[in-house]
Amino acid sequence: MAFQLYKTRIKCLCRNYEIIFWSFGFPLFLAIFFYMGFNNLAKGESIDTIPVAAVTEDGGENEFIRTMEAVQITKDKRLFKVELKTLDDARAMLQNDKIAGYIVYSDKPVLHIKNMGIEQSIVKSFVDSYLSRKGTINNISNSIDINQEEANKDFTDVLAGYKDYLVDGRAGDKNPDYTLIYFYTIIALTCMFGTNWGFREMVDIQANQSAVGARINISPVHKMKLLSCNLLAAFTLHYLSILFLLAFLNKVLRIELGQRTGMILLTCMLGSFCGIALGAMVCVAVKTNVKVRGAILNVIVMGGGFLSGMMIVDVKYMIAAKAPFVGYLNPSSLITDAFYCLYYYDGYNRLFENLFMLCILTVVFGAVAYFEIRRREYASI
Amino acid sequence: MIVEVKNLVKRYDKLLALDHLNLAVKKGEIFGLLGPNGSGKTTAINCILSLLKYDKGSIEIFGKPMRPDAYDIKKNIGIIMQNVAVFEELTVYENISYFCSLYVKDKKEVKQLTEEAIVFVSLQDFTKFLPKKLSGGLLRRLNIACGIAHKPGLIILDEPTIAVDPQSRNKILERIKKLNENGATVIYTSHYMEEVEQLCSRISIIDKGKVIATGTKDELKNMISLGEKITVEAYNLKEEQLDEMMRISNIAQVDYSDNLLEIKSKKGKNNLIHILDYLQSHDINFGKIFTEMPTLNDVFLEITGKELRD
Repeated sequence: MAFQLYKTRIKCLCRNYEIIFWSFGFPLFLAIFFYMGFNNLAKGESIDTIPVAAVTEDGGENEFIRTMEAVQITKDKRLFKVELKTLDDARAMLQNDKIAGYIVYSDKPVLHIKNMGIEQSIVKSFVDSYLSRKGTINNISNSIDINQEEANKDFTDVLAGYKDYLVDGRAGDKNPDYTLIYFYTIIALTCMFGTNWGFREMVDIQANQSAVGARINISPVHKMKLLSCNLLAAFTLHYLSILFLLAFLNKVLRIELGQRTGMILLTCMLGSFCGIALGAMVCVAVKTNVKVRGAILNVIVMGGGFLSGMMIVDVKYMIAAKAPFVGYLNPSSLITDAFYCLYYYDGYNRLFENLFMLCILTVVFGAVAYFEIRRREYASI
Repeated sequence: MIVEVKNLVKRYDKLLALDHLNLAVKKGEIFGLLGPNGSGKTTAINCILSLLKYDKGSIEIFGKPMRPDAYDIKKNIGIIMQNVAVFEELTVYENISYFCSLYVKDKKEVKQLTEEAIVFVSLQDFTKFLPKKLSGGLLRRLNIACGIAHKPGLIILDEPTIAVDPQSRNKILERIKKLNENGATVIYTSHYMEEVEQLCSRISIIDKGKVIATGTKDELKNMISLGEKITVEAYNLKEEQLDEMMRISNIAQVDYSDNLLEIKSKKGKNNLIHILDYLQSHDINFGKIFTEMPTLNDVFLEITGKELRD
């Protein structure tokens, strides 16, 4: 019988298109929206190889050009693509925006550019740095007796240090990308959409909330048994919606979630429990009509999302610095932080702290809902 | 007695919703609870079903005290609410099957009972329809099917025909009669006196949370002093003729407007003959004549001084 009730409830919830959209569809739209926004942002901030033309007196490479070509952004990506050209060709290329600038090297490099931009600034910075270091080394080599060939080698080594400032600071496989927090807040928001499911279950089981609730209360089935079946059905679908989002983020948008799959699933499960329990509590504890209670619930969910950094990531840091207890009482913040821990930290301390608080909140929300709903007679219907 | 309610008192803060209400429903009858809106019918039903807390009194169903956890009693009760109580997301078949499965454990039996209920309310052509696709009448029939699919011994119908067209209403009433013929005891609440008169074997009239009269419809009508009501299509009547008619024995009230003479007579026989004699003897032209016996509305009017539908 219990399975029959569970199955019918699943069917019933599956056909509630509004609730299905908010749990399955909306987070996907939000993820795509964030992805498009942040992808462009990251693109704007990334550095590509800069095309530069070099004009030398003899038309061949010299130490400066070799040094320039040696500078790397990442292991497989060079900072400059240097082409040896004649002065006329270089000018034409600059005119046609084929290069960021050209360098005429006689006794020292002189940079020629058309407009000032990021690429031109980088080239200028490199040239200035080269001249400055060359001057320093020349002064040193003039003051002491040193082999010129060795001095040139040392100079190249010194300049090679330049790339350290530019190489991506990636450590191992962890990319310190703050935009990930936005995607983690979407997962937290999806967990918090469990409030809709919990809310709906409470409305449907209480005689003073719905006609269906009254009919159910008259039936010879223990209310808690029926509620358990219904909540399990709600959890099943809600958890599926979270897994669906995780799969979409990880497999389609390539958002990194870390390697600890078990912990990720556990975090989502606790997040789902917490969301459902919060919805149930608001439904039974707030004494006003269903629409107002629904609106209150939306404010709580969206407010929680905001405080966890969904709209402005700095809010999360500000809360953590100035009012950390708010973060501990906000399930969205706990879930976001748990995902952050799962990705960035190897240890479990902070993760378990978040999960523990999530459990505490779930128990409190669930207990309030239980004590309100366990009554079997109503003062008014 | 199938249902016995004694001295039931229910307050909503300062409002006394049920004032020492007493009801006794016998096995196999269709018991009507008649009263205007707000008289306490639904509150009484909700108390009987242990949905509402009450302040005082006792309720017994099938000879046992009714409590919220009296599952053995609940198992044998079917309820058809005033508001349609079905899941919007489930089809007609799924709804009936779901509510039936709350009462019956055996899957095959649920299937059989569901199919029987569908046939009973003539929803065979709509089994795969969602409730929002059904008309008001069909929706009410679905509501009934959900309440009676498990074949309960006691069926409580709380104003099941509200906002239903006359054709669907007649079908619903026919089915309730059939349920009763099949052995179910029925409690039927309504503020439509015609329905209650047509359907119920015994009736309690309720006002301000109190039972003001109980009996069969004839017993109730005998409680009042009014007899038949005679309506005559008559022309050019004068004031003094109306006064003379008032002086005829057994006449209680005479009204005349729009060429319609309406005479309410006291209990007694041959009132119509006396009126016709008078009209003929005074050469008064008259056309159609209607007579009707007092209604439950007249009973309610005489006892409470107000119309049933006030």
